Amino acid sequence: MTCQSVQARILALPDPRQLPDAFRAHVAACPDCTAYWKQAARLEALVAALPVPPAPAGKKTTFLEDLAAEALVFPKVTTTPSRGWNLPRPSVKALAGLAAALLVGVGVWSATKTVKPVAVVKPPAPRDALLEKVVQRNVALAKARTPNDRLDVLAGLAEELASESRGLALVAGADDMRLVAEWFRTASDGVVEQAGRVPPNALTPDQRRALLARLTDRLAEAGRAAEQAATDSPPHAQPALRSIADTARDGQTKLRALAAQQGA
Amino acid sequence: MTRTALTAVVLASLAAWAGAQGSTSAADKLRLHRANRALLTDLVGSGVRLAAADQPVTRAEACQQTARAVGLEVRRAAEANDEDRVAELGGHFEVLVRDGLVPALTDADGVVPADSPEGVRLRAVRAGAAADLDATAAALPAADAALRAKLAELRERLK
Amino acid sequence: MSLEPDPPADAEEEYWLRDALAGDRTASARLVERYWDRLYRWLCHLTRDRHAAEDLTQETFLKALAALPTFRPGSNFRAWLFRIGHNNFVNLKRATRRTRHPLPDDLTAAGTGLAELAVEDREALAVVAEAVAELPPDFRSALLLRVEEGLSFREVAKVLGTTEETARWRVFKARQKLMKVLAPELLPPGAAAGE
Repeated sequence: MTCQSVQARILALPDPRQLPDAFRAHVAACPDCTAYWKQAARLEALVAALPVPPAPAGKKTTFLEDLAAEALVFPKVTTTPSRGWNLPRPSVKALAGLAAALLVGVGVWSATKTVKPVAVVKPPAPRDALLEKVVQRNVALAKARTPNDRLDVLAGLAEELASESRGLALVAGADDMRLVAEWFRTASDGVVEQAGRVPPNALTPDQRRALLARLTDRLAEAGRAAEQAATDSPPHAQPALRSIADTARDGQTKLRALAAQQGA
Repeated sequence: MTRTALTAVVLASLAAWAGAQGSTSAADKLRLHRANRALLTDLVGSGVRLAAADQPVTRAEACQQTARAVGLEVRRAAEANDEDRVAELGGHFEVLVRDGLVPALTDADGVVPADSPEGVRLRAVRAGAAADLDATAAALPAADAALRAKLAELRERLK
Repeated sequence: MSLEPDPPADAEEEYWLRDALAGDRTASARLVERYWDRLYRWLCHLTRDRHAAEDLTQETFLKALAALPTFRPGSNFRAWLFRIGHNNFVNLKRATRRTRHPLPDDLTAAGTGLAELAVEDREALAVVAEAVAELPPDFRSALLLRVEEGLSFREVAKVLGTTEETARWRVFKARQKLMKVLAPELLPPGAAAGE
């Protein structure tokens, strides 16, 4: 839990004065969050005690007197159903009538001899699975708070693009495949560049070593799969798949160099 | 109920089941890939920008650009009367704004002083996002009331 | 999906509602007694005008009692009543150009006299009151329903005619804005800034 997320979640509680167990350990150990929580709790108490000026005209007393004397003038009420309230409940009789009507309807339908044109209902439209994945990766990147998390998500994006290239190889043209290879290069180069920009104090040496090893392995796997797919694919798809394999190898080389340079 | 209406109900149920069972055909896969080429190029680029955005305002700016790209495609699809594409991309637009942009703006609000240069940038992001939401909602077909309502709710969160 | 369950129905209030529906004016009076001051307090914060708040409170109870036959027994009367109040407030905002009135000097703190509070608390309350009044109305109304009235996020959503998620978000945003503006004021009495 980062301080920023704990503090935001404190403000999102039903009552910040009542801290759930999940936060207590962090707040107790963190002076900044302790101070923040105390301020939030005090704010809550002050809002609950806000002053209100007295009602000027004593209308409550008058209202109650008029109510007792049946002297109130009520406005006309137009009933409009509101969400979740006051929707009329069907009676048992109404439900029984509906059921009977359905049975009659089915009977009429089966007895009908006239052949009428059948209404063609459109099946649900196919959706682009890659687009969905790329959108989800963007959301995950927006939410990621640490360099570790961002790099893992970005590496995942590269893997998904490599996988897409293998799926398209049998159906797509050369231009289509070339474009996917470019996308993979963008993502892979992004991984390498961001790996090199992780601040020195963001990770311990072990964490840095593990991160770079993980990213190297992932690129290696994507490259291997692309190389393998190239041998099984039609000729027009092979250049793009080999390009992906080369990009992955290039990325691995740079990541290993980075690891060596940083002593990871 | 008429015979036609009952038949339609049966067919709709079968179609829904079939849609849930089967995967996209090769032809559809290629068609969708080509239709989304430009958008995917934008989104891959924006993913890399988001990965590089380690400051709250930069992250909010990157989120807004990402959502804008999808919003533009929604509007193009609406102009072309492509209801399926509007529905698909409209859903992605909603997710990007709801789960990416709004939280990024909220986080930035918490740490950026309003009268700082970053505060000015943040206000520009918010204004741009509101304009994108308005334009996208306005372009939706009348039948898309549910999505319009969701975008209206998101619009409120940008205030 | 709601994250908070509805509170259990108040048995006494259910009897009052049933009797009021049957024409028992004493039962109607009990409902008015229970909610008038609370509704007035909330509307006062929304309108920043005690005259308008009192008028709105009266109008709300008139409409509520007239519409009582449409109220579904077992559902949340308080949220239903406040929803009518909120609608009246929104109608008032649309119909008139609102003039902001400063809070008058004769403040009374909810439940206690201001004079009984320590000086630091009185000062902090005044500052917080001003900051709350500066909040956008949607944030202010949600925050006060949650904190002053103790409504759950689900009930707040019902009053304001929105989703539970939006109600929760409005309360969060209200607190976030107040924390940003009021941080130095919120240190406990006696604590120096920066400690």
